[in-house]
Amino acid sequence: MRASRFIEIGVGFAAAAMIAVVATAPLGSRAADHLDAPNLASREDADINDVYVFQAATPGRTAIAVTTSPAAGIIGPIDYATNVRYKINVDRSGDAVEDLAYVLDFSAPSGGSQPYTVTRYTGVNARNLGQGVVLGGGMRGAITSLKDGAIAFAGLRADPFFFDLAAFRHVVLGAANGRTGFCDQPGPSGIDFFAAFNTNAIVIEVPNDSLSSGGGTIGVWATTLDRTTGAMIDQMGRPAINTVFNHTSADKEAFNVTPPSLQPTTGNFRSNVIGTLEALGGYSASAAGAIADILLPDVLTYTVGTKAAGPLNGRAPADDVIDVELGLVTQGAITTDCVGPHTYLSTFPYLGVAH
Amino acid sequence: MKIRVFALCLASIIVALATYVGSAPSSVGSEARVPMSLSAEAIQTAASAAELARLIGVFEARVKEHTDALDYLFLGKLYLQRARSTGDLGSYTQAGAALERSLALYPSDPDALAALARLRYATHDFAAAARVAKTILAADPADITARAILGDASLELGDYGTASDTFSGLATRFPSAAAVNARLARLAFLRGDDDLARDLADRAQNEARDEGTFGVDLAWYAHLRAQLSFDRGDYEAARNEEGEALAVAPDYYVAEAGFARGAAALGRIDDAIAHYERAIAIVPQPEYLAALGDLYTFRGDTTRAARAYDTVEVSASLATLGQRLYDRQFALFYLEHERSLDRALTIAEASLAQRPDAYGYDIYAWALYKTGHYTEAVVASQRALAMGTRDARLHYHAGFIALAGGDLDRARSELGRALAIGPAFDPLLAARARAALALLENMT
Repeated sequence: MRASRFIEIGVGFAAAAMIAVVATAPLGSRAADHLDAPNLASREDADINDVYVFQAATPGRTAIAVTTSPAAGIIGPIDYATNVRYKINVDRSGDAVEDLAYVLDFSAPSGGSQPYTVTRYTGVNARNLGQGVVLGGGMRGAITSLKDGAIAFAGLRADPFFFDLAAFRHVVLGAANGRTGFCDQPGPSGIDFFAAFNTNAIVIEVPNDSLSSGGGTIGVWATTLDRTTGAMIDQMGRPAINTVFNHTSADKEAFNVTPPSLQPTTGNFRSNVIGTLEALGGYSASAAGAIADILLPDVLTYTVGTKAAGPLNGRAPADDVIDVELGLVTQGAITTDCVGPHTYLSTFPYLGVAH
Repeated sequence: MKIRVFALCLASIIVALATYVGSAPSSVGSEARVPMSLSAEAIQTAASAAELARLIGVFEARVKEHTDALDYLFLGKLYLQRARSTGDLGSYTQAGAALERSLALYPSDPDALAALARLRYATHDFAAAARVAKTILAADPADITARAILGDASLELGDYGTASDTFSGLATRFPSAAAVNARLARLAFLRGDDDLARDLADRAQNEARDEGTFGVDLAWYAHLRAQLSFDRGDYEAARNEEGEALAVAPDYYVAEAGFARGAAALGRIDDAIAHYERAIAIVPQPEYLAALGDLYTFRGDTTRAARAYDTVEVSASLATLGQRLYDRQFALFYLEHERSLDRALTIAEASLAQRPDAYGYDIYAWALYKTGHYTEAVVASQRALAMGTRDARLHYHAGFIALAGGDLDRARSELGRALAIGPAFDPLLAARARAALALLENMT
């Protein structure tokens, strides 16, 4: 889940030099700010910002992008973690359980770059990461060709996300922060908090047939896993689900480690979605329930071979998913945050060059 | 009475003797400080320093274009980060201005309040830091950031009970968090449990690496280990660990000064001087200047020593944030060099009032001793040692204070303890302690 790191950067203190310097590093909770799980705070390099799946520039191919390390270089590091596995999950059978996975594993950085490998897992191996096929490897910062027509990129890019976070905190979370609403600025635009940040981006592009034969619908989401224990660290499908619908630290933390297939039936997640929709959108319980059934399991559903229209049919970097979600959540009362897309590349790796 | 006068005479003879004895030539040639090619961590550090500069420019421009609490808050935090990693005090002032703007727009923002609390802490207004942290906790008792700041401020205020409870609470919730274990390491050191302190600090550094910590934040963990090594008298380890810190962050001034201190303790005077000069070029802290002056004194270079000491005097007269941040450094300088003793006492008294921790009692005790208030000095010194902190300087002070009070047995044991803990804790003072002990032993 896109994390609260933007509001919290590690700040240490210098005591008088007569006694030992005691500095601090970022600790636990970010609970009040960007609304992500407190226990994620210390692992910025395993923190997933966004997931995208969209048509590639070349017909018959699909791109999947996962951005990690918020405000890479300041909050999160530029180096990828070597004790984390970065996993792209794909469900092809409609049960929100992965039956295809691409996993990136990074080695120690040196000389300003980092080697990595891409491994593909299918069937039950996609879940337990047992037997996989190494598609190839590359160096951070360069486009690399893999087996079976795949290509990959991993490295620093301009963060593609765009959002008036401050206005959101006022409008949706009731923060008395001096904003009066979306689109409250003198000009036509809101304030895009994410305009200038960088992020670490993993982008893979594969032939459509690798994902689904005959233009079927897939579900895509990303997870980061502890390499040693296999434990989940973070997870994300559609944008802002955890942020908008889960309100307590406990629920957010739990959501980050609950596999999508279990999300509709475990914990408070479904009732949280319904409650939020009723409160913010005036939906009836049954209407809210129907929407909850679409939003959970939290995976990016996408019909392969079609133009993406995030967040309900894949997600392309330029898709204004915030506008769509605002409209959905408020039942049309608010339809935009007056913040538009950044500039992107029309070719792989699609995300803009780092600032 | 007679014993006390005799003891005082003894003390001054010892000082004179030690200074003479201490001027022995020494030192190996300088060695390469940092390898020619940067480590991966150093590359990351340089990248993040560049990114910090870039984002400060970006957010300075943004707050000119529009008014938004969040942008002011983020800018404030960027300034705080700059202050921390470069030692630039002006960045604290800038941080304060940005946070003030943010809070004017959003007064109840727990994140802005937390940043403000950190700023207060960083500028040594510990009572204010604790107050602001408590404000946050009143609204949200589960706020971990505020809880940590409260613990940190309590530690500096000498409220070790609150600090301990706070850190233990955090440790229960986050048993493998580097930042928590580092705090516990500091607490263990203050309580005299050096082995535990070392273990926790070692753990913390490993955890920091595993957590993806980078830049000055990561270097800091090596520096923490180095400080503990130095205080334990393991000067080789201290120097190596500061070297580790510099390998991660080559411009980390506290690691430069720590490296210098370790080198001095190992008798590598040229090396020590070079590294103190480098630290001073980045941040001319009084402590570094005084240490540099002492090394020149040790070498017999009175001209350069005087220049370093004069620089301390000049900076003491500047009415800046530095006066408050370095108050104890200034006081200690005055006291060790027999200058402006009354001023030192005033500073020490004020510092203790505002920050009644063990080291506050220690500097106050030393100021009392140097100005002839021996009875009060004994009381203050005992408060300084109440937790059993194994710090050579605390025991060194206690030893001479006992000597002035005529308690020769205690003088012997305290000076002995000082040297047992830190045989080379200070280039000039360790020699004085040694000379005093030798004379005391001859007197039994």
